[in-house]
Parts: sequence; C-alpha cells; structure tokens
Amino acid sequence: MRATGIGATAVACLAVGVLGGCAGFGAAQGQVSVPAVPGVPGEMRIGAHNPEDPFEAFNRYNFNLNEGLDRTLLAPVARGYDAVAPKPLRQGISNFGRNLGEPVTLVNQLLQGQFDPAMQTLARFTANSTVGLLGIFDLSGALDLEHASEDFGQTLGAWGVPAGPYLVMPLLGSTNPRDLLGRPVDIAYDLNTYILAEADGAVVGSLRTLQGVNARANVIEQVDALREQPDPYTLLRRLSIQNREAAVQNAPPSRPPTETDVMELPEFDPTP
Amino acid sequence: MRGITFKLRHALGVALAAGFITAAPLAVAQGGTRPGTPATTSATASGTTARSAVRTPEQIEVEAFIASQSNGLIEALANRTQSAAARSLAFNLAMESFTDVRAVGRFVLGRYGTSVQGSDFDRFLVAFREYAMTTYESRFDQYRGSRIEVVNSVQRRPGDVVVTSMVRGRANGEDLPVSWRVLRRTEGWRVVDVEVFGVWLGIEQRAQFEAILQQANGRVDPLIGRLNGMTARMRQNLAQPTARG
Repeated sequence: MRATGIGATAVACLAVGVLGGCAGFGAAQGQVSVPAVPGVPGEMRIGAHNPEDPFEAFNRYNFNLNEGLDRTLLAPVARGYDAVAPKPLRQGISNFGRNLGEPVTLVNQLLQGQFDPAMQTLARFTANSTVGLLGIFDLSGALDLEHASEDFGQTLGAWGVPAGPYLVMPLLGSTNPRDLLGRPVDIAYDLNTYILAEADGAVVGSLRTLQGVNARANVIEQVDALREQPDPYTLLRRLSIQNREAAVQNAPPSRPPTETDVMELPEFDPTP
Repeated sequence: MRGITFKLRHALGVALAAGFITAAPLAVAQGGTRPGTPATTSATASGTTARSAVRTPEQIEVEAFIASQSNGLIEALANRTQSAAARSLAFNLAMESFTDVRAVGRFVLGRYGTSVQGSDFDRFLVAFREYAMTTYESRFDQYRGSRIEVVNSVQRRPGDVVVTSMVRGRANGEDLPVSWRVLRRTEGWRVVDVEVFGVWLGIEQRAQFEAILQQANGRVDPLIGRLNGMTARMRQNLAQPTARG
C-alpha cells in the first residue's frame, strides 16, 4: 500500500512538478516543463555561463527529464481525463485540494503580519470545510472572501531572505533554495500531509493521482502554447522568477505596464 | 497545488487570449519610481488608464496611427471573403507599413545583434519575418469581429511613444488591454513591440533567442532552423481545415 501511495504521490507531484512544484509548493506558480531546443543540447556548453542562471546545465537536464515524464506519462492521461471528466467534478477536485492547503496560507499570513487576510482565510476554510462539504464546493465568491496563497518561501521572502539561484528539480519543477527551504515547514501545516499519513494507502494514492491528473488537465492548452515557444525553458525561467517575486510582494499576478514600467523599457535601437 | 491552475492560466492564458504571442509570462511588479513626463498618466489597478489631459502632438499622431493601422490589420487577417493566399498577401503588405521588422530582428538578437551580420543577419531576418507573420496569421484569426480602441499613450522621449489600447468585441467577451511601442522612422511611425499583460513580446523573444544563440556559441543557424521548423508546423496547422474552424 505504501508503495502505491508513494507511486501515486509521485504522479501527483509530477503533475504539479511539471507545472512547477509539488503539492502546494508555493514556487509552483506558472511552471511547466517543455522541450529543449531541437538541435541544441540540453546541457549548456562549457564556458557558456549565464549569470542569470548559474545552474543552467543542471536545470535544463531536469527540465528535459520532467518534460519527458510529462509527455510519456502525465499528458496522455490528462488528455484522456480532460475528454471525459465533467467540469463540476474537476472543479470539485481542485477546490478540495486547495482547501486542504488553506492552513498553510493561514499560518504564513500570520507570520507575515497579514492579519485581516488571515481572518479571511480562516473564514473561507471554515465555510468551505463545513458548508462546502470538505472543500469540494468553494463558497468564497458567495461570501466575498478573496482567495490568497501564501507559503513559507514567501514568508522568508517577506522577511528579506533572498531567493537564491533559479533551480529546476526532478518532479518538483521550478523552484529556488529559499522555497526548497520553506517547503518542509509548510508540510507541517498542510492537511494533505496528514491525510497521507493516516488514510488508507490505496485511497490516498488514488486521490493524489486524481489531483495531479486534474491539475495537469487544467493547463493542457497553456502547456501546449508554451511548447510552441522558441526556447520554452528560458521563458519559464523568467516567468517563474517574476511570478515568485510578485507573490512575495503580494503584487497582482499580472497587470498592464504602468507609466514607470514604460519609462524603464530598454532602448530599442542600438546606440551608435 | 494551491493556486497553480489559476496562476498558470492567468499567466499563459494571456498568450492564447491575446493571439499576439504564443505564450506569455506574467508581469512583475517593478519597484522604484521615476518622475514621469508631463504628458503621461498612470495605469490604474483595473488595468485601464485615464487619458491624460495634455498630450503632445506626437502622442496624438501615434494614437491615430495605432487606431487606424491595428484595426486594418485585424480586418486584413479576418477577411474570410479572400483566399488564404490573398489574405496572407494583404496582411504582409499591411505589416510593412505597420512595423519595422528589420529593427525588431536586430533587437531580438540582443547581445548577438552586433555579431550576426551580413548574410547571416539577412538569412535570420527572412526566417524571423516568416515566423512572426505566420504566428500572427495563426492567431489573429481569433480576433475576427474585434476592434482595438486606443485608451492612452505615454511618450518616453521624442520619437518613442507607447500607446495603450483595449481589444474589444472578442469571442470570449473579455476586453484585453494591449500596448504598442511605436518609434518614429524616416518612413513614418512603426510598431516595434507589443505588450499583453505586462509582457513585451520583443523583450521576451530576445531572452529566448539569446539563450539559443548562447548555446550555439553565437552561431545563428540553430536559431534559424528552430524558427523555420516552428513556421513549418504553424503553416501545416493553418492548412488543416479543422484547425481553422
């Protein structure tokens, strides 16, 4: 049973890992693994050091590994699931997983001194766990409780700890040393952890697999779009770093450029 | 898994929604402030901008250019009364007076822009132009029936204006803010970069192209091969009736 659970968890982790992080890993936002440039080896050439990505060779290797796992294992299953799973079921699975992770957000909001948002998280978690039938139904819209996502990696960032270099890990996907450090702390508050520990292995395995496949199925179009990029790895590295920084700053996930942004655009024409 | 789906969708759905680019990352909050020019305004949290009370003659000129030319491009691409070949030709002609492809090609080479010269650059430019045009053709189809309304503009300096616009009437009913960086050239105003949700296409392409060139020790052929391959695949998809709806 344990083996089943671990295997299934690996699938679930892969689903999210390919997307950027495993089971609530905060750094997961916006991550997917996509193929390397054809004709260009995954490893960086010796001497082609990129100061923005000091572990690029390591990262690209893992990136390609995750991509291979996704293409051969996860994506085909997700496509099949996408074809047959009704939307309410998929939404319910997403809601359930997110609700189990709410205590992580709550604790980290408190650690960051975000007391009002923490109260909203508590109210949301209480409502969804009870009236929302263990989180399957999300009442946040009806109750006007805005969703938030905080983890210990973000908390460390808010405390001034630098992220460190960009990393891609097998199964986990995109991350950085700060988030790798934060993840074990979050596990202590993640109800998924206790379900894994207490429930029957087969049930847990099935649930985690379903969560993983569901998460992957929700981003089929986006992953396909990323695979159309000239160098998806580079785009995802930039996206990951930017997303993570925005999350630490509690900035909107995306917004049109402000006047300041516009004024800071690089010069377009080469200087004579 | 918390938030992944939403954030990934939010980030990358931009590309699918926008059609201008095949994928796009998120905008990032940029710290710091800088004094603005008198003829500028700030974006609001909702993503729209309040039109400035005072605009320079260049801003007025460029706003009119974008309002006219961008909608002309959409019409050229979405014109279903023409054959695919005629539509493609019309679009390519419209693009010639809309953007400065050569300058964009130089920009996206980044730090390799000075080393890729002569016939290498010309070959790259052919591949890049084909890739860019095909990308637009394969995506702009989503904009049938939509229109672009100019919202505001910011003048960075003389001859360098960023126009904020809103794409309305899209199939999914959601308005989409899009910005255009427009530079003055001898032949007139030309668009050199497009922004959707804080992501500038040219800047993002430059990062990717630099990575490919770096891995190839500065040789441009792997990049050309990559672009040609992507163009061929897009052309193949365009040729499939089911893919075009």
